[in-house]
Amino acid sequence: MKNKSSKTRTIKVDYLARVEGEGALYIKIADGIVKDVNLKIFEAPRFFEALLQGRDFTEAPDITSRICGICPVAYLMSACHAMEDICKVQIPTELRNLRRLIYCGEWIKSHSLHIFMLNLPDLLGFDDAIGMAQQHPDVVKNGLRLKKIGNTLMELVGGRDIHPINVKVGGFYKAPTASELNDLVPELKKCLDLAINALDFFSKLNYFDYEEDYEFVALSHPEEYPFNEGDLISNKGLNFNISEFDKYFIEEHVPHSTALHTYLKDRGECFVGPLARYALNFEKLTPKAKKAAKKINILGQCNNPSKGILIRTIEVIFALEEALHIINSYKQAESCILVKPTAGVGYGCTEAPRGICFHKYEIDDSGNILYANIVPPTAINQKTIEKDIRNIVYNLVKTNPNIKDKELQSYSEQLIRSYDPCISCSTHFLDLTVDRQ
Amino acid sequence: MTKYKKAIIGLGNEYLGDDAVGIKIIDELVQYDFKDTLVTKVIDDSLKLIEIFQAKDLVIIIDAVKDKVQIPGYIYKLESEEVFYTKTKIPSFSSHTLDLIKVLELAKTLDSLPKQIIIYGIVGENFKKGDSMSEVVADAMGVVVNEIIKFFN
Repeated sequence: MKNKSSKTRTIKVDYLARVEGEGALYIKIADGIVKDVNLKIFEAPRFFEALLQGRDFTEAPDITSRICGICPVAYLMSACHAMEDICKVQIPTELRNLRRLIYCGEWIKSHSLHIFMLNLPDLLGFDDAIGMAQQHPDVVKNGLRLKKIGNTLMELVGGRDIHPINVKVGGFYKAPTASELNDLVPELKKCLDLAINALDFFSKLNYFDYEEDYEFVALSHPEEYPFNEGDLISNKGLNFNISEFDKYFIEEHVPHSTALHTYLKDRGECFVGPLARYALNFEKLTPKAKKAAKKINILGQCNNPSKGILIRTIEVIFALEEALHIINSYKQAESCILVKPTAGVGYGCTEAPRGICFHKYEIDDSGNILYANIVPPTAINQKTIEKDIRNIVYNLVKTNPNIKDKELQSYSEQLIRSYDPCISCSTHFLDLTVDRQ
Repeated sequence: MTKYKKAIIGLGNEYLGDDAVGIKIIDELVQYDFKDTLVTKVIDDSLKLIEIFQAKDLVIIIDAVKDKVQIPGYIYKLESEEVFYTKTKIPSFSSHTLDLIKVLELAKTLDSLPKQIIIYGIVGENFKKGDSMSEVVADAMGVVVNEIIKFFN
């Protein structure tokens, strides 16, 4: 971080702490006006789409799940759905429910990690979770307990919690027994109470006073809060089948990032993730999640990204309740159905903790993958994050032209963290440069 | 996980050159039947260590170390409180999301450390994606495996 002159300021954050992956932020300020904001993602591109070509269609879930250690289920699920779309198979209800159950585990784990370890220290004024744990040990312990039940669900259904190995095109290699799942019920119920209490605590904290008229995009399913299926809708009138993704979204290379920027054609940036899902699917939340949301008076749309922690906690409550509901009605059935390859193109779009994760594949009639395209949620949110930082830095500099770079850095980092960006996924995190001219 | 009183945990990433050493040591040690002992790997999610520490009398952790002081293949062996006093000597203990020392500090703050903890930190020289483990680290691996077997016998 350095100042070039009194008129030119360059704020450089060379490494973003408490985010997944490696990235940096560059801010250029000339004569007190923010001229440029670049969220630089420099994590090495990993060329997953290229290495999928020539592989068997059944390998796509396991290969793509390696893109991320935090949200591997999203990649497993989107790849499975895309292959099943190509091969025109329908997954039986019990397997579909098991897929929702493992997704509950991933949301609980990923959200709890972000809420308690990455985001909460900002709101309570600590540098990290260790400092926070000294004054709020029970809060941190509860967070770790919530994360653990998420891990346990993923382990039981997915074979292991990091990069699960029990998921396949057509279902699972092995289905858990009802008894194994029922053993989790007491801890799930306890964690549900902990999450409801945590939401109450978080609702009393101070948040940035910042709102934006976002275009929220999320899956929408007629009967359920979305995990695996649905059409893509927005709060500004979009409603299309996932097979039309390419018609609505544009992927673009930008010089400052190894991640592609993805935005809506003729409309610009949009916002995916918990705030979007919540705004577009509030009515489909489970009863306790809805009741908890009503208690803190956030009904439906929340346009303040720094309040993302509240929405994530509501989603944790939802996922715990949904897991209990699925386990309660679970009957062990065949672990998978046979899927024979058919030449064609197919699509999968599921809700990763951070937003929609889109997969498109083409395979031949032997099942060889001819083409693959994967769009992770952070690639879509990147433009919105940049715009928000531009607005917030603009307001801060306008209010106080002599604001210290360190303060700008702190606000910017907190805003970026509130998005829970997954740089590892989108590379395809923070290093801040503020250039003041 | 809580049914065991002891645990041997290998940390690392088998696709990052010498960072694989903790994982590969566990691959060797799982072949032995250490009484009342969980032998496991922790990949990526270092906070999971705190879950494993629950109700443990003894935990041995093996990890690769990036170090500018000692030469590749050097084996640090730290016991209990020693872990916290020597952190300035070992600037970067691991390549994971939350580094090992920070996780141990968090566990200590939460009063969640096991009764006894032993850490083996093996100094690596190459942490490049896709590379295999270097020869000196492979040699050090054998030393640590034998020492742990001897300890349990």
